[in-house]
Amino acid sequence: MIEFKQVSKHFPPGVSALTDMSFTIERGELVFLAGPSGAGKSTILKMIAAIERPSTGQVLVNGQDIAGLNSAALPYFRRNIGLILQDHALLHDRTILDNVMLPLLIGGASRNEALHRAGTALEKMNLSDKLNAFPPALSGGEQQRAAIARAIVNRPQLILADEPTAYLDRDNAKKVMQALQAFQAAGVTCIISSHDEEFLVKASRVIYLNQGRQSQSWQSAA
Amino acid sequence: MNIWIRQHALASSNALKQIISAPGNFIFNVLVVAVALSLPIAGLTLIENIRPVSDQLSIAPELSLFLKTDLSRSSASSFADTIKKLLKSSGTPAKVVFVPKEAALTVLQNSSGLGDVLATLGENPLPDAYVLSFEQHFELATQQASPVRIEALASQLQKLPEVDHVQIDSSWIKRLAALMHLAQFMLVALALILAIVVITVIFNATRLQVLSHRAEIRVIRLLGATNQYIRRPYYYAGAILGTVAGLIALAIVAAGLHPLNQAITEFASLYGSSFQLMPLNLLWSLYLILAAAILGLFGAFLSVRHQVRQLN
Repeated sequence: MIEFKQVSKHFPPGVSALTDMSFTIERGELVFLAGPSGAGKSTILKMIAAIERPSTGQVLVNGQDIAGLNSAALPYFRRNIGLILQDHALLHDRTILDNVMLPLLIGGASRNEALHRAGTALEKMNLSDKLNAFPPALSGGEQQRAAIARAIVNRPQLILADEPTAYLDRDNAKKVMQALQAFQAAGVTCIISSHDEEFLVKASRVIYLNQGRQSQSWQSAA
Repeated sequence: MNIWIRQHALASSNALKQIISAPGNFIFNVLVVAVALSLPIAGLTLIENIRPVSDQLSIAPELSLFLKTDLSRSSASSFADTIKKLLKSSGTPAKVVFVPKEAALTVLQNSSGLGDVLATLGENPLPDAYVLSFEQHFELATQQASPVRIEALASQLQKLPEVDHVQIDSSWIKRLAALMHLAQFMLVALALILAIVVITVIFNATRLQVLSHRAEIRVIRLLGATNQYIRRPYYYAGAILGTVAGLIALAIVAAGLHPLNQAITEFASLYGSSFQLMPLNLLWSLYLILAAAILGLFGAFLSVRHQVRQLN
């Protein structure tokens, strides 16, 4: 489903974020990208979401080379991806419900349908009592769960999560990871970048990175 | 089709939310645009008020022929034959009316309000005169040229020793027509300049809006928003700004007519007229509001295309 073919990414002036990276991720896998800060984890996620383009090599998502996506095709490509960012990227002047409805409204869903599906997604994230709260009024864990609800509300085939537990306490971090595991169990491909060793064991695969290179890879026997 | 309508409904509602979230900016921009729009609207109101009066001016061109003051009454009376011969030879039929100086003085005393002043003069300063009314009509609305023949006749009459002065009485209508054309041209020029001002103001207002929503645009892009989805609320905001500014500009001009009409009423009454400036009619008002909305939309369109491209 996702294929990196000898991908390198250079940022000016002469900084290499990724060097000659090749791997394949199959549909329904739960893959962790592990490694220290600056190892290239976020760059890989950004490339899969076509936020960054490779300097050399190819990134294929469902057979589609992201380098070939033009500005008209890009929005429709991104609608199939649930993106969870480290800073949650919630809009602070909108309620949690409005934030979660956003991908549906962008996709052209009716307001009633969006309300219903966003409510269901927030219920799954145990945020039913926070529908009308604004993001700044929520804890970091609640904001992250709201961001997950927004990522899954469009029923994407792929979830990309960049350090989803970075600023969370253990309890909240566990809840977030459990939610992501549940999506993987439902057949959604999940790619998560994380420092957190505790959660790596739950992955079907871990790709270790160091200074923009793949240092090792571990795959679950299951 | 349903999705298209939903997206536009959503964009207009987002535009209203943007406006409500920063009412101060919106009000300030609306006032700037409204003041800019009110100038050409005021000019248009003036022209539209004068136009019906001037369009209805349709007179038979007249020649006023003032004789020399030392000419005797009998010579003045018999001068009609000379005039008729000239008219016949030039092929310009006209009605010839003799206006004795006594009659002219009476009219002047009654119509000008200067009766007391004229009474102090002792003797009548006015000359005997003839008024030649031609059958061919000069109409301002159709802009038919005054016959060249009349002007030639006037210059022939002017050369006669009995004649002191010849005046073509339709020439002032020509001057009025020329003045109206000049005013219309200047109004169009003013409107174009102020349209550029309006577009610039809305361009800048939209630019600031886009810049203040950079973070939001970044997020909704990641969620799959198309450029059209991002731009649409700003288009609506620009059109709303233009529409509201247009309405306020019309209100400013209508409000400005009241004190102006007080002065005009006083002035017009001296001439026995009840002329008053009226606000533009509904159709004109709708056209102007539509034009203001289009200007707003155009300013926002230019700005958003530029800004969103830069944010890419």
